[in-house]
Amino acid sequence: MVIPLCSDRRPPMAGPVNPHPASALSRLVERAAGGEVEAFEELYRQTVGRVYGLCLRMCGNRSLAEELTQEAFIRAWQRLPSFRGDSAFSTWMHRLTVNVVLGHQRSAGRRQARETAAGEEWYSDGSARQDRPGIAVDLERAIARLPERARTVFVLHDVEGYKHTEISEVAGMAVGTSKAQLSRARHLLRKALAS
Amino acid sequence: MNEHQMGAEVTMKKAMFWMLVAMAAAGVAQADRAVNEARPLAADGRVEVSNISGEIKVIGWTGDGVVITGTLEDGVKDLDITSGGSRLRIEVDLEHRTRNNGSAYLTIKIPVTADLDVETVSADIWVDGVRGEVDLESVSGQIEVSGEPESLEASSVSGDVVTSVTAGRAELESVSGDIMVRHATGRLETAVVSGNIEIEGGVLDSFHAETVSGSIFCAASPSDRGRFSLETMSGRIEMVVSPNVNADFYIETYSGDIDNKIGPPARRTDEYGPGKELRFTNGSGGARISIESFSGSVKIRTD
Amino acid sequence: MKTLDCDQVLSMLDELIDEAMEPSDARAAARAHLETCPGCRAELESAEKLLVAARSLPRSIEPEHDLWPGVVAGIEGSRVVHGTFDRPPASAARRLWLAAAAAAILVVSVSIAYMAGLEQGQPRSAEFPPTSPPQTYMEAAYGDLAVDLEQARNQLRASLDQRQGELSPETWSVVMDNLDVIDSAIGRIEIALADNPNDGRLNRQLKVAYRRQIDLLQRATRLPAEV
Repeated sequence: MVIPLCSDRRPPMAGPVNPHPASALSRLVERAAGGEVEAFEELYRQTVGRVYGLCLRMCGNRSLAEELTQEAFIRAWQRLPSFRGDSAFSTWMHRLTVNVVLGHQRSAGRRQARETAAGEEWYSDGSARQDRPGIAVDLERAIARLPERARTVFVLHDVEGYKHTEISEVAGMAVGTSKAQLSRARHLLRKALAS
Repeated sequence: MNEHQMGAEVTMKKAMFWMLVAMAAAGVAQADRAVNEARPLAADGRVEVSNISGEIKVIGWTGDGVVITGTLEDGVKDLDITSGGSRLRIEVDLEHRTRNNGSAYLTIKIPVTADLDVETVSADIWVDGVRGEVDLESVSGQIEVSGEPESLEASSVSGDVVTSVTAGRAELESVSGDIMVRHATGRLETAVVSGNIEIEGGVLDSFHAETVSGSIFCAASPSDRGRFSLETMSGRIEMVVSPNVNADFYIETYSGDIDNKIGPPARRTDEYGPGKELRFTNGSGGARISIESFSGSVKIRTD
Repeated sequence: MKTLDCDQVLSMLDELIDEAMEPSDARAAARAHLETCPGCRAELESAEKLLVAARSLPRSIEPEHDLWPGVVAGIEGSRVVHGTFDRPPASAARRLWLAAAAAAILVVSVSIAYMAGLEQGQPRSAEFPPTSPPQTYMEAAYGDLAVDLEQARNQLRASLDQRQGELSPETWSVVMDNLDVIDSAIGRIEIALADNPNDGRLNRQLKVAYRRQIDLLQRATRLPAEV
């Protein structure tokens, strides 16, 4: 029997509760757009978790994720004056981050990505991998090991809740490719987790 | 890498950052160099660009001549700019010992009516608002074009070719990358091997798409006497048409399924062997849509 | 409602769990199959489990180090470069494109013309441009010269192999993978032809596949050196 899954789209900023109400946030954005570094730092503190989480999962590599997180915020600072507030700041920042990661993957990233054993970097925190059982950890590592395009689509679709048409727009790939890559990612992950 | 080593690496990175800041402050030439060049060029002139890696952005403008801005990374030896009357050549010249780090990121403004020729290896190519003849070639770079060039040839091997509008003539090809066109008009030829072809809309006088294993999605309509031909070996073909399109359809596959939502079903060509075909006229006919596949499935539906 | 087999249902798995399938015969048929097939049900459940696990992953992860100093350094312009330079007239620039062996190109041009002539047995709906003088010229020049396609392919393949060291590993593997895609298409058509040797359509598809193969070999041979 087909069990329908909850299909509502996850909100872009699910996670730690934001103690600042929306109007305070938009004032922060205004001040940051006007050039106030302190306001921008506050925005940074509030959003760095989401940005870094997205980068880390899309790259599978901590040091690269850190670099790209910084790049995303630098670019956000440069583009903030043109942010018109017609979408939530978090959505705008999310899109921008995706673009930064994909841009990197397209140009410089290829050789580095191949040379780094993607799954290894995820756990470069000193603890032995064997001490950490559990499906969440295995899943993260398996995602990090996916081929780049498959990983991109899987993270955007199944983790972040993008639709294929949105992935097609932001990643510049055909909808057909997005679906094929998702299928491939899911298949590879199920195989990796079953073994 | 253990914590200790990572800590050391981070400290080193921080040190390098502040060192660069200090160097900038001292005005010492750094790793990257800025570009700020201008050259005259006739409005109907031709611009040729060649770069290995990085990014090339070309924008058609109504100002005079050509303006080049951007940055050159350490491994770039020179930016060679040669001009001669109605032709301007911009070439990124690398240090010979360099392996990867010689990227150039250039934004080039050229006269709106100029012709453009760009060759790169891994650098992405972006073109916007150029109305002359445009020829773009890359190996692994992404190619994105907007605006309406009089003619467009774009070819990549593993990069995608993405255009928002085509007008006049366009020939787009990739090997493993995708081809995507948002709104196509005029005459369009597309070819890939394992990438996918997606045409989201528009009206075309002629359209040819061929893939080996990639899929073809076409939601553009044929003009009154339009000729469409879509060919694949094993990819999926999906055509979206308006229910009252006036066209003669000719579809054949060897082993692929044919799913026709706007007319009669396919029939077997031969009682004893594989092979299906479907010929029918929708509306008053006139345009010709020919679809051919070996094992890929074919679907025709309305929007 | 037609009955579906396991392969067909499994190929629809993604659409089923993504709720991307409109109510349709296919969906109802898939449901019917799943009700009676424990193997496919198990696959579906495993796929759904993965989806639930993915959606439950934490989307916010705090970085181990404070990245703010790096951001500040960036926004305070230390990464932006300055300095313009006066360029002397260009010295001989390094050429990007290598020329392929002339003999290989000649053989290839003739083969393509030959095959294009054969392909034209079945009219292509879209010809671009509408008239193709180069093809007719080639045919006129070489007439019914039977060109050895095998020879053309081998020559190109040999030229290409010589260039392996100059192309990046990524490009090389894209070219090789896609040559494999075409080879496997050729293989399947040849198998079909073994049963239906006089099928005009299959013969034409085989010629198209050879043409694509030679096109790709030729393009690959002329790629700029990346290394």
